Amino acid sequence: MSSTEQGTSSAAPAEPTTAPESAAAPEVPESFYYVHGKDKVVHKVSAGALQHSALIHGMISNLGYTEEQAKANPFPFENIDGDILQMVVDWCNQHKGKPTPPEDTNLPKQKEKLFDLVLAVNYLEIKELLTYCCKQVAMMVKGKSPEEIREIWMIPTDAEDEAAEKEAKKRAGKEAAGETAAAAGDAK
Amino acid sequence: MPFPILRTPFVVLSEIISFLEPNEIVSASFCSKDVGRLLKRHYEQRKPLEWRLSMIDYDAMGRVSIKTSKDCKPIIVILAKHISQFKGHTLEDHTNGYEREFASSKRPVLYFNDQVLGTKWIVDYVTGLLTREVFSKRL
Repeated sequence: MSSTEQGTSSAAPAEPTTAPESAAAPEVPESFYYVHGKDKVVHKVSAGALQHSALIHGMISNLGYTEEQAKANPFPFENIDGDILQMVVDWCNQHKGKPTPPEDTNLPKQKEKLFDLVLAVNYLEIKELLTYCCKQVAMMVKGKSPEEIREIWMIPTDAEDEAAEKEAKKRAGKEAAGETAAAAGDAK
Repeated sequence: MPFPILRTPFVVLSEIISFLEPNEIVSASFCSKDVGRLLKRHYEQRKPLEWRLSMIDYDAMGRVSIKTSKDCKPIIVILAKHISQFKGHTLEDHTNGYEREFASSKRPVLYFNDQVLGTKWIVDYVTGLLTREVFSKRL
């Protein structure tokens, strides 16, 4: 796989860039796994940090990967943008082996990325991070009027919904008519 | 920055809804019929059993408030007033419709031709939305 390994090189096992090693080093050397997103940039993540993701944790348990195998075959998440995966990896590293606080100040600040982040976190099954993100989305509409909520959450009006429904019906009708005509042509 | 909430998976949507305060739920339900139905479905499946709905009707104003737990203060979620209190607005005679305002009170205020019927309307609306019965009435 042609990829740029972030924070490490293929020759020497390097420290993960995003996670500072904990002061009390574990007796058993920690194992690392590798993930990449749409941009193919490989992120090295410790098994401890990956515990947050039920999906990856399940993949590791089920596949029984050794570290070498994991390095040769990073987990591909082609549906997740590279910068979003980086945010997720950072969060997992920051919360490695720690109880998650009720209020998280380490949430990514970029609101414009929140939608993609929510989808990625939901896909990766990182429950705590999903909870924080959802809380942030709920906070967006605090004290807002229905019109403001509609704008913030991009909710179509009833008129827009009706117009979209009519359009969809019209399109379905046209498609059905086209199929009937094609079938009649075949029969001839 | 907008967040297209209706494009999120069901699990995410449910999680977001679970973080909304009662007054935010009622406000959001006025965004569109679709959102109203979505919220209703959510509360049919996850009934907020500890929530206590109160109807208060005095001082020419009807209101519905909700206590989300035993010890918390009730949150007023919606108000019903007579149309005459909404300056510059009128309603046709014999209509059971309403004019809606979202004032500095941070909750929807509905104005009706008949404030008593209006109060009944808002109670029916909130009980229908949250699938909860009225726990107490104060007249």
